[in-house]
Amino acid sequence: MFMFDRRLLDHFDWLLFFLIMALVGIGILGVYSATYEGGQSLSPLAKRQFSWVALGLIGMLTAFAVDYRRFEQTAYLWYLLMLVFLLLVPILGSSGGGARRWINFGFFSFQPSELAKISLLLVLGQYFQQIAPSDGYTLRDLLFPGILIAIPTGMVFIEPNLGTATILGLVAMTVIFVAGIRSSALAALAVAAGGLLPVLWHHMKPYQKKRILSFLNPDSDPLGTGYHMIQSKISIGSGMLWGKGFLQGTQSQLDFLPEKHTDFIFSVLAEEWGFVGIVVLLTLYGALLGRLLVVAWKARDRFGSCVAVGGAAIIFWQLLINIGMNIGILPVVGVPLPFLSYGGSSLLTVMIAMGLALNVSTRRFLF
Amino acid sequence: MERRLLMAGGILGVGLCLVLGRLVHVATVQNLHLAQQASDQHQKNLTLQVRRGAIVDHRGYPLALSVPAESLFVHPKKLTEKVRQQATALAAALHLPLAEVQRVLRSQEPFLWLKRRATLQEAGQVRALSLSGIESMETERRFYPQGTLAAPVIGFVNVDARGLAGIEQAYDEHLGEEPTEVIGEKDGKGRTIFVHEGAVPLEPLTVRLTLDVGLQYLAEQELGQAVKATGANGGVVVILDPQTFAVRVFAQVPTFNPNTPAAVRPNVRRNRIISDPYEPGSTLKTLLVAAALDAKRVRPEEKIFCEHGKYPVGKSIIHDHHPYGSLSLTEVLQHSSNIGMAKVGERLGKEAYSAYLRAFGLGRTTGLGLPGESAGLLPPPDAWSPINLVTASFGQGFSTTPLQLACAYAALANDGVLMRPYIVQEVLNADGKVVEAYGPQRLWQAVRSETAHQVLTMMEKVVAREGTGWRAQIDGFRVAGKTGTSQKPDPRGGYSPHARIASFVGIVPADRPRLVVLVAIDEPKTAVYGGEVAAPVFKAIAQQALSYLGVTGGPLKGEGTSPETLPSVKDGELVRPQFQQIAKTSTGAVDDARVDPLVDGANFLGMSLREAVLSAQRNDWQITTRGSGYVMKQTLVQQAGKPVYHLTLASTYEARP
Repeated sequence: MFMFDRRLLDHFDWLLFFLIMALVGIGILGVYSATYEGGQSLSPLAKRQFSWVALGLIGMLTAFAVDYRRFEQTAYLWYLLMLVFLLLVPILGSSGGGARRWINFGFFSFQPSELAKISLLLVLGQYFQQIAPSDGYTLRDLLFPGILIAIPTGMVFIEPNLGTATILGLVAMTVIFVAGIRSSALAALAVAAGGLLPVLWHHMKPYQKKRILSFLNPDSDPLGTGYHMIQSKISIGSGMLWGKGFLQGTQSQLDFLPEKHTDFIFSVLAEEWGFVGIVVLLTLYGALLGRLLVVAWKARDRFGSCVAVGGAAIIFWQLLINIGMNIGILPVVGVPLPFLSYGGSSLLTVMIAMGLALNVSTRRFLF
Repeated sequence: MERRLLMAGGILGVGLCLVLGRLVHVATVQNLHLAQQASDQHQKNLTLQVRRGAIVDHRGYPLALSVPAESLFVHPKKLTEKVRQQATALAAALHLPLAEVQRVLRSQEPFLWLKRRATLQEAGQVRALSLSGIESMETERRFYPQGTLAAPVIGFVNVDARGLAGIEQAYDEHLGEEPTEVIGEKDGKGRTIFVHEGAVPLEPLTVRLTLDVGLQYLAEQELGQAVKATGANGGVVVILDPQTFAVRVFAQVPTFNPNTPAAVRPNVRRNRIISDPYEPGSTLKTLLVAAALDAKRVRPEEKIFCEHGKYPVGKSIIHDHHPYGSLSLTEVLQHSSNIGMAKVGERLGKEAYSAYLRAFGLGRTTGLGLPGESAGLLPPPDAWSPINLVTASFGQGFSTTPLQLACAYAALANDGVLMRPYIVQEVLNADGKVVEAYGPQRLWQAVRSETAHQVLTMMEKVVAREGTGWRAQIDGFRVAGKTGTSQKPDPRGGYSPHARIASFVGIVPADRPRLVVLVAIDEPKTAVYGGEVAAPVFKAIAQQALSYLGVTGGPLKGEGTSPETLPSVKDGELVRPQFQQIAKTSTGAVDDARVDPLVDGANFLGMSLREAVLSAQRNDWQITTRGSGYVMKQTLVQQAGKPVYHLTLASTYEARP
């Protein structure tokens, strides 16, 4: 199982690893600043986040060390485990912010919906590895994967966790797209999705609707739901070119910026490191995403490609939605910024996904 | 799959570019606007108010302080009916009239003060009612711990803590800065985080007066009793240090409590010692005698015929109280003969007389520096008719303030040198460092030194057994003084037939003047003469003051006088114990000059340890101390060529018999 082959080291994807670690490092600085309370000692939130970083690194190394075909073989096991956890959420879950999303393990609490992303990738990869029609998937071919996707996504949606449900859907769609859906089927799906939107709207909670409405006109309720959006824009804009300096952001350090260590960490970084810092950050993300696509391209099998693309999709969609809401082009839905936002489940999930990508990249020459 | 990966890469790239493009827009097009919004949010203008400085007496005893307070306010429109019904409780808690509280609570104004500068206890009681909508703001309140003591000198402040009278007004800018606007940072909850450096306002300054709380207290006590006993309208007492012209006492009755200045009519708050000129009457005769002697128009032993009590001048006839024949100049003063003085005045002439009066500081403000000072009325000599010169000879036809007259006498006690009186000794910063110091300021020689000494000797005769001021005698001390009984102008014209101001100005000890004490009693009913009404008050005050200051009598009469037999000041709270131990120098000789704490600071006797240490620091003296309580004994020794004072402290209980 833990075959510590010399070849593992020879083919190790150092570039990918470097990009991951760079982002993790920025995440540490960001959370430190966003939770900074003055003085020398770490805030309790920062301490907790740093233990999650350690746990994430262990998760990443584990996901890397085990041959990824093992995960392919056990994909449905993970999927079922994930469904059990999702089922436990409404029963055992603890709530926060008007939603029941966490399972409390005493010393830490965990969001099963985050790990759903990984297990969903595994089952989709396994399915697309098995079934690979040369002219692409028809809707009929996609019926089973569709069910595999719909069950956890639906469960997450009714938690309610609109953000994660959206990400699950988008990640799955990305994998289906890259795995090779027929263009006609894609078009049909797009039409169906368009038709589903009103139904989705109908099932949304009032606070979710309010967020979307206030996105359309944030100044309608500047001290209520529009407040996040206005404040984050002010933070980013006032950072100017070079930023206000580490721990010097007035908007974030003085608590004008709400949720600054979670959903709006990007604004904290933008305020403190300026436009230059943001460009550097986005360049790192871009490089990481590019590298993940290259890994998918060069992967030894379709499962590996799907997992790598899925990893890229997790990062890309979360990045897009999170930054989008930070800069006011998307509504405020609770989607964390990969590597950077405070939150253990999200970080662990992304790290495991990256471990799998490293796994795929390193093992493409083996066997 | 490769094609789709390329497409995915494309979508990904487009997405990232979209985000980047938006960021460029936010960071370049909107950034200035957003940066402005950011600073608008976290910067706020703060109005910083330095706590108003204290006013203390020359020993540091507090006369005016600022204490924390709260200003309570409401937004009447937003109040609930439940709160409005609590008007009675609020009125009781805040000591306000019920109608006033009801008016505020029922008002339709957006904002009203409920009570400004309420005490912390009052605010606490309001909070205990736990009414929502009654809000408070930290501020400070002026507090005058001594109540009425020296109130007209200290003055008072308005609700915005600006001085409206007295020292509070004159030193308003020293005591309290204008509120300064500074830019501070606040957080998302509106709390102030910090104030930008450099914007920190100036520290409060303390104004130290030359007044002595102990003397002031005893003067007010004696004056108050006298006014009561004689059924007078009021009275004033001024005590000056003739060597420096430092004001030690400014007492007046009736007075007011500066904590509640609105409780009395404005004219009660006026500092009558500097604002109310009166006709000095016979107390002015001393100055004329001094002028005539100085101009060598008369000799002290020269006989003057006093016309047996009736002296026609033009159409008028001048009277004396008792008919006199020939009197020496000294006797003229001693008996206060109007006719004798009229003849001296005629001999001197109006120009010279007027010039001397100006030399004594009459007809001009003294430059004390308190607001509302009057120059008195001294008409130019051209305007004087012959009868004006005659009446002016016994102090009628012009006016002086009590302070002007006290200064003129102080000049006689100060070898003829007139000085500018001062009441502010120094202005101290928060660390106790002197930032402004005031001291004796010589104006000019009013009369020659010999003249001054001659007049003082003559004034001692006034207090002698056969003089008008015999009631001013103090055992063991030589006293120089002059009585005065001024007529008051009648509102209907001329002089009032009954209303008099009885006054006495004295200098003690006459041989080594330490105090000039002016006592004036306004419209006494039991008796009207200065010698009867004012001289005993002078005696009571001067006697206790000398004891308080530890002044011993002169070598002629004072030898052997035991100071312990003198009455001490009644209120032990106010007055530091004073003991008569005279410091011995290292040579063992009695160091007489060291006895006086007012003139020479190297007297620690009676000081607390803290006062002694502060005094030593200020003057750069070396001291060693032993014991606790008050300084009972001090010895001066030379250590390594430097003087060192050894102080022995003891509690007052041990020291007092």
